[in-house]
Amino acid sequence: MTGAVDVRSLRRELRAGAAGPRRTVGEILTDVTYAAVCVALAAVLLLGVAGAVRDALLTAATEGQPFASGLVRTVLVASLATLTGWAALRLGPVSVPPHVAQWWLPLPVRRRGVLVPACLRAALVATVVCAVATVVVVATTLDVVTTTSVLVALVTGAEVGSVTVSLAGLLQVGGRVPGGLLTATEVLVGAVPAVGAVLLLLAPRTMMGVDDAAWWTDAAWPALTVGAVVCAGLLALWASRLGRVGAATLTSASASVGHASGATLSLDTRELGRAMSRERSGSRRSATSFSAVRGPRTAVVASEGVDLLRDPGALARTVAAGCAGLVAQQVPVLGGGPGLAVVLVTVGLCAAAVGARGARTAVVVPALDAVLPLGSRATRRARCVVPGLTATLAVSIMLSAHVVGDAAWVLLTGSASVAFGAAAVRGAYRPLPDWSSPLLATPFGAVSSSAVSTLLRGPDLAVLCSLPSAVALVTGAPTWGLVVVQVLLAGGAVVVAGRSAAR
Amino acid sequence: MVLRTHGLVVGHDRSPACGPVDVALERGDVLSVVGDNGAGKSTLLRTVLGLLEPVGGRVEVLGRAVDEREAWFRAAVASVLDTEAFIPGVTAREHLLLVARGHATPGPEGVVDDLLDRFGILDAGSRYPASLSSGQRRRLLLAAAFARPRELMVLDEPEQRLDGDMRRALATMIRDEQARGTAVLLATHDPVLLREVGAPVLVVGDRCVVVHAQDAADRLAGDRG
Repeated sequence: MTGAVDVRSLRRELRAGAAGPRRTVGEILTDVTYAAVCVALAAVLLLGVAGAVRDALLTAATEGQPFASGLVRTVLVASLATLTGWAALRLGPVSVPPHVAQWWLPLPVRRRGVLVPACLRAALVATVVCAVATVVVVATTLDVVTTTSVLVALVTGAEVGSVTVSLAGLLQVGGRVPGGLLTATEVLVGAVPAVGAVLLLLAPRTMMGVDDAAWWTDAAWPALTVGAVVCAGLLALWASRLGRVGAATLTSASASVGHASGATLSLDTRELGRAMSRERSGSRRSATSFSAVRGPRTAVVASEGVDLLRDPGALARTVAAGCAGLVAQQVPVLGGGPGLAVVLVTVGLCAAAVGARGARTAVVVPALDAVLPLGSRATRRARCVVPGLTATLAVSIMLSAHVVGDAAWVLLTGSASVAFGAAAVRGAYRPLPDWSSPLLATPFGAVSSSAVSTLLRGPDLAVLCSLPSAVALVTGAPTWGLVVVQVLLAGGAVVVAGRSAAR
Repeated sequence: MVLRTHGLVVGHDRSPACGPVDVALERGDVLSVVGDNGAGKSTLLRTVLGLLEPVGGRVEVLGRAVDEREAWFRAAVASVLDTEAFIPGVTAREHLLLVARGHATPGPEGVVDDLLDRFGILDAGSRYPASLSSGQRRRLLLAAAFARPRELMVLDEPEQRLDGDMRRALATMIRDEQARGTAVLLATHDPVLLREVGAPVLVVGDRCVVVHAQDAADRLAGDRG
């Protein structure tokens, strides 16, 4: 071989070699048709559900239960933007597979060419996800849904996603994203529903009057046109600077994306949570002496408590869960009865999961539970304390109107929070799905029955052991009988969570 | 009797990794374990720690069947294997403090500072374990094993990622453990550590035999040369 290697022709040959035998037109048409049918089925299902929810809301509104739909829509779209930004910063947004990082990055070639496909892929994913989510939000909450409102929602969501990911990309180009910025983004994810809840509490009439209906009409097109130009400009600027992204940044992003992709494909929400979280690094100026620790149980609780307090993002997520529950009660069907019970379980379980990081870490590193002189059952029961506390905080925020000044409600929701904490620990210690189990046929393909049943470990305990609280919410008044049953169920939940696997 | 094995056969998936092992460790006994790669050293240690089921025979710690999930076992046995287990969200010093306080070690702050100094990571105490080098994390793991009471200590190749001075210091600490009455079971590839510890050596293979430390160290040194 003489002369310099032409990298473009080398890539062309490698791509041709990897492509395999040429596919027939029939095979391509079959795949395209299959994909189109799946997308159409998903769209019909989503719009059908959104329509059913909207009909329920309209029915409630005509029965004299209006809700601050404008505020709810604004909070949801703002939450979508912050979540997209956080995910983009956490995962890159540009990354390359490990084999590409190992092969291409050290070569004396222009890096931009290798990264442009990843950039476009990230932009496309963010744009599509935000567009679809915004359409669902609007289709569910807008009084009158027309083709125009759906199209405006689609374009609005697409532009929100595009701008967010482009800004994250420009930050990545500038170098490794500072840990402080990531933390600030995590806090922002929690702050948006919190602000919505505070505004609702402080100025309910004003918030009821927030009317964004004019946006979801033809009047939005001029602004959306300008927005499209801005999006295109940001994307072009980002793409032009891709060559400056450092190898260390790309390698770390590829590890995160690989981890998250694997967890998503295997339906392992626990692993996905670990992939999206950051391991603490660096040093601390101040240290905790743990002088209050007197033995292994207090050591477990103290370590998990300190870990939580040192994570502003986790605290923000806990508060956000409670505030989201408060805002959700603005939706008439969720403001009372079974709907409110569903919101209670969702908020309680989400907040408890924030506090269960210690349990999730111990599952990956079993030696962690063996560090202290405490049996495995007692360790798991001790690990229920901090998740119970985070659930208590969120549920207290969510049901603040009920619990203030009412001892029965306080005991009821407090005990339910203990059950949510135990459920989070049970979910953290659940075994991996058995992929050899029988498959369930669904319109979207086969799903392992074991994967489904494994995913339900944790939520099953939360639903069962919060039934007395749910009954109280449905009837509108707690009784001392319900309180006693709730306390007993909470104790039972902790015992169940402490059960460890047989040898 | 701190550790006793009765015709213990270790392995994976019911397949033996080495010959049967019969050992008995009293208080203050040290037993080093050597063998070729894949001979079954780590498998033996993990079986003693209850992390693997024996293929045959049985193992007892403090006269009881091994169950690593039980509080009495976790209180009595300190181990350092190749797994890194650090309490999340706390610095290196705080990790040791939690371990010490969790085990009700008297004077925990003094014990922790002394260990950080002896293992040469005093300056790293305020850093999170993820920021430490692999050698420093290894030292932190070893320090955690010494920060709490123990009747049996199980160490799997503790010399990994330690420099020569640290290995000699470790050997001194193991001899101190012996004097204190702790039984130590230690797997190693390091002839210097074997000589410095000077304890009987179990050679793991198709036939497991006990030899003198000097003979085992010479053999290891010869293999390397």
